[in-house]
Amino acid sequence: MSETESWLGEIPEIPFVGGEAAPPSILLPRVCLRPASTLARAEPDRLFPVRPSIFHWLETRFAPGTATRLVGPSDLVPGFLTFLLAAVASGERTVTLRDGANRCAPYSIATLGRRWGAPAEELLGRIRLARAFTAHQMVTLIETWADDEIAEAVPADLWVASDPAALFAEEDVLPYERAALVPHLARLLDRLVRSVHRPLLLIEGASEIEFPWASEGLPVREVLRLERRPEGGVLLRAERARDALELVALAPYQHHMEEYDPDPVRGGVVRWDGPSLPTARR
Amino acid sequence: MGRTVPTYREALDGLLTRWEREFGHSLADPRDREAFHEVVLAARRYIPQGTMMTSGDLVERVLLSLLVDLQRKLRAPDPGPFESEIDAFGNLR
Amino acid sequence: MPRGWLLDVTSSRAGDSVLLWLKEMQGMVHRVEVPYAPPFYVTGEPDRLHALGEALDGRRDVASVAETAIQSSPFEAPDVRHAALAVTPQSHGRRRSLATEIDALGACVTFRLFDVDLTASQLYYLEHDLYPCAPVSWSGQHVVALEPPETWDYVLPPFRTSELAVEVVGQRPGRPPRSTDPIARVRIGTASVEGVDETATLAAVVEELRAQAPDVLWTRGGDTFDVPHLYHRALVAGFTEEEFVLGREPMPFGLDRAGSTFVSYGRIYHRSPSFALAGRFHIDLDERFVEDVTMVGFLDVARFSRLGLQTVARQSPGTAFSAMEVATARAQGVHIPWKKNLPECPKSAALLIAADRGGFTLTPPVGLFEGVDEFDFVSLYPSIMVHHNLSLETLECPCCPDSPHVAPGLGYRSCTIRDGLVPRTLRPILERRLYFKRRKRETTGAERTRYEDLAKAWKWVLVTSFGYQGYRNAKFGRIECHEAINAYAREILADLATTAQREGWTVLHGIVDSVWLKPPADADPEAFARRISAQGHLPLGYEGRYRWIVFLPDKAYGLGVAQRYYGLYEDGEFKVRGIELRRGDTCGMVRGVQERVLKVLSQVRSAAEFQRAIPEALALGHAAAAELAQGGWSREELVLTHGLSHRLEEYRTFSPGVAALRQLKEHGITREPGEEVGFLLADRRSQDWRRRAVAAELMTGSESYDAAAYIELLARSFETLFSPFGYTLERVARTWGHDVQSTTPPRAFDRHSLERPGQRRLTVP
Repeated sequence: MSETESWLGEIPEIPFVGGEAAPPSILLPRVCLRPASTLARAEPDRLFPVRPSIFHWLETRFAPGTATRLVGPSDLVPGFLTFLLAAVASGERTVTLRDGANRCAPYSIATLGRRWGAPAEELLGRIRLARAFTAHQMVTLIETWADDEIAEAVPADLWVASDPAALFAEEDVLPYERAALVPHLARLLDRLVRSVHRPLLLIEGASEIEFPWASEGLPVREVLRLERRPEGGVLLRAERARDALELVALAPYQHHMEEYDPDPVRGGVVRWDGPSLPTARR
Repeated sequence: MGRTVPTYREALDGLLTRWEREFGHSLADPRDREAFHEVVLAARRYIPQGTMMTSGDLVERVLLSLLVDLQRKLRAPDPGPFESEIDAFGNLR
Repeated sequence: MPRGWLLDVTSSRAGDSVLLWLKEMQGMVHRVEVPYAPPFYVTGEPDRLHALGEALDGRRDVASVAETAIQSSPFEAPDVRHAALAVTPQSHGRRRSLATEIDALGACVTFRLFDVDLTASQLYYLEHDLYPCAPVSWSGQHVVALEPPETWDYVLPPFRTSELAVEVVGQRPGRPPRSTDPIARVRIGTASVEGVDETATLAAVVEELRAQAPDVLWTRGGDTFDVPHLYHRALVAGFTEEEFVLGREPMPFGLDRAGSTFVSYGRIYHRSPSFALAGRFHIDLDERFVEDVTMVGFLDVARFSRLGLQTVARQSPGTAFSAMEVATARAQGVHIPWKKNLPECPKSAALLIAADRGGFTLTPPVGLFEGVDEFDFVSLYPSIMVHHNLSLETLECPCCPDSPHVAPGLGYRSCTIRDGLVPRTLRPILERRLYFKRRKRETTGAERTRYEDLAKAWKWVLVTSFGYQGYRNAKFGRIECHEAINAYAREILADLATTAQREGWTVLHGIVDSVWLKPPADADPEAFARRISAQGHLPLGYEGRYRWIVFLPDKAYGLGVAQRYYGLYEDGEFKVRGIELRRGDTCGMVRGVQERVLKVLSQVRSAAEFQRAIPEALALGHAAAAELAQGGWSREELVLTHGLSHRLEEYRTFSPGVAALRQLKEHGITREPGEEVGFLLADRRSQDWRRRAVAAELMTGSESYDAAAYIELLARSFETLFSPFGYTLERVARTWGHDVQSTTPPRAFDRHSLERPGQRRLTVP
């Protein structure tokens, strides 16, 4: 803001869209308190590291050849995506991400990884991404995804499509393009997830465009929904399994966590501490 | 297109804000607070150099900035051509 | 064969021909109609194309369909052709809708379309080796350019220019015109046209235009007011579009057009609808994207872009550059894709951190420095694009895995075999600008001004050529190119700093493509610049030596910050960045006083003299503050401007700008995001939208203003200049006998020492 403005009064600027600097602040978990040496490597058939136990809960929500949808408010989803990416990569798994909402936050991913003892460069090296900035670029990205991945030396364990439909909300996209290409994307993803036989994380919600996963028959294993609770805290629901985790902020100076009991219990609770992701203006 | 990753300056802002809020805020002794402020200034002083590094770990860049700043303060001073001809009190050098 | 100039090519109303506007040497303008129906192209599977062809054949809105083969991509070898359908719409106006229909028919995936968003005039120019305002000779419909567009020096067409200005009944300061206001008189050039009533006035306008026959009608606000108001009143008075003609050919009144708002580099812009004319140029000086470009500059850019003068004078330089890329592609035989879809290639998150960075910045120390040399690379970014062959199809090519051109830190390699489309477009522009700059140095007077204007116009095109690489809708952009350019640039600046240091220079400040160095004894800056240029193959220019330069601190920490300084060159010229003088939101009063302060400082030759000049400068401010306090300062000079990012209803906080918007709304005037609102600050404490401020358009010139607020603004401008020397806002205000409550926290100044005011000085760096 110019000096004059700051003195004369607030004229709000346009909200920043995309990237790490998106207001308002986003919760990030500070979950793991164990030193690096005890962060068990993921077993061959697991996507996430073994501890902390939120990963145990999450593990069952993904399966090869199926899609897992992640939905929620725009101030919670990016932080959670960051958490998932950092977790998977910390467990020495590889992620391939096609981003339509400019949400990749490498510094935040590295920060989380550092807390979990994973060195930043290795961690970030295990995340492959390609960004789209127009709807047509997104279509190309999904069309070429499988071919691009075949050429890679290390196969990806988790495929993430971050809001493939979001760019279709842009003004310069015409209704007929939206009508033709959004279902086309869904069909492509359906074919993709079945043929590569890896778990696909499908993130939605950055725009009001509804992704037609149902009508195109995408094999959805689970829907993870993030919700804010009126009394504070965040709920992470697994809709199909009718299960939920309460993510509660740790009070300052509190050091201990009550861990989620691995025995299936309705409404289990994981205390996690979420320092806000700092906002920055462009 | 682009502008996905915040600049080092922006990311540093976030890091320093967190440090100030969680650590600096709880410093009682005003001399500690002054010292902490010097740490913040030191981190900011070397933003251009931090930008030229590409490590994913911001703390590495901040640590280097603080170390270089400390070394400067420890050594015999020689402002040379980097000091203003008129100082902050309005005096000629 | 008559000779003259091809002023413009416009689409006929029927849309199946173009109108060539030819101006004879003696001045007469001829209208030559040439049937012209350019096709667009559709590629796809041959059997699908064939089916499409059959479906389109015989339709009324399709003039013809033909099977052919085209070059569709700069990535492919020139001999690669793809099966295509050449579809010719019945009229130019139907081009886009027909293309849309075909795209929709193929559900956006079956067919790829080309050359759709090129205009008929653009295609005509390209196909017939012609360009706007080309010197030509003609015989019937056959027009031939007498020289290529790249000709260095040429004779400009002898334009007849007239200013056009509309005045409505009841127009006076403080009462902006409304669409219901009848027209009182119209100024055309030196003539003031006024009839017994409005209808007579309007008829007289048409007559006067016919008599004067200007080639250029220029206005200030013609797109937003004068022309649409004329059309509106003509409609009300019962004139048809054929009767009320402002150009040389009837045009639709087009009153249902809306403006548009768009965001570029985080800034919001608002474009008004444009009211171009046919056979005559309407140039709205207020709608120029870049303010200081003149006709001479626009004409030269128009030649290369093959876009008409009216388009070039309104659109961004990026649009012109994109059109030049189109020209290069078409010259190569490649057709222009309609829906660009080239995305990013996959990269690791680690590489993303390295790639997604901007230019190199070295923040300066705060304070006054004597004898500083400034060096600027000449068009660094475009030069990098040319030197390292950065173009969408030449980056990371499969044919040159061992190319020596590697983007530092990123590893992207450039092709060594093919010359890229983008460098091929840029090279002649770079050479042209260098030529104009050289000629500017070699000439004087009007000739010199002309070369200066030309160099300036091309500077803007070059500046946007880089940004265009990263623009998501750019036809020939590619994000990896953008990243590579930045990587090379960072390395070049950092290397320059290292080399300079090794040779004894002190590197004070560096940003993107400029450095400020303090020379060692007996340094030869020109020789230094020449040597660096030769080594790196990128021209480094020596801007000059500052007698002194003051680098200013940032507001929050007192540390040096890029692009905020003011300095006096040895030749007596100032260079100023980031201070009130340069900012768009400051009022004339602050700018004027700051200019006078700089005038005082222009006599200063050393730090000692500067120190002695500060009290004199402060006294100047004191006198201005006293005058402000008396309440008689010219209201025009007190107008503050805010850029708008929202509509009035969307603002949640009350501010003087919002108050002004509210007042404008009362008068039926709305402002869109991207536009500005100007206002006079009447009472900064008031929460009443009627009393906080007065909208600039509604000022009468005698309303009272908040003197204390303006004195504080003035004091702030002094703080801006002299804060490195201990002059805070409070101190400045106290010197003038005012009390000011600052809302910003106290500043720490950039010192490595633990100095505090009052402490003894420690000699630390």
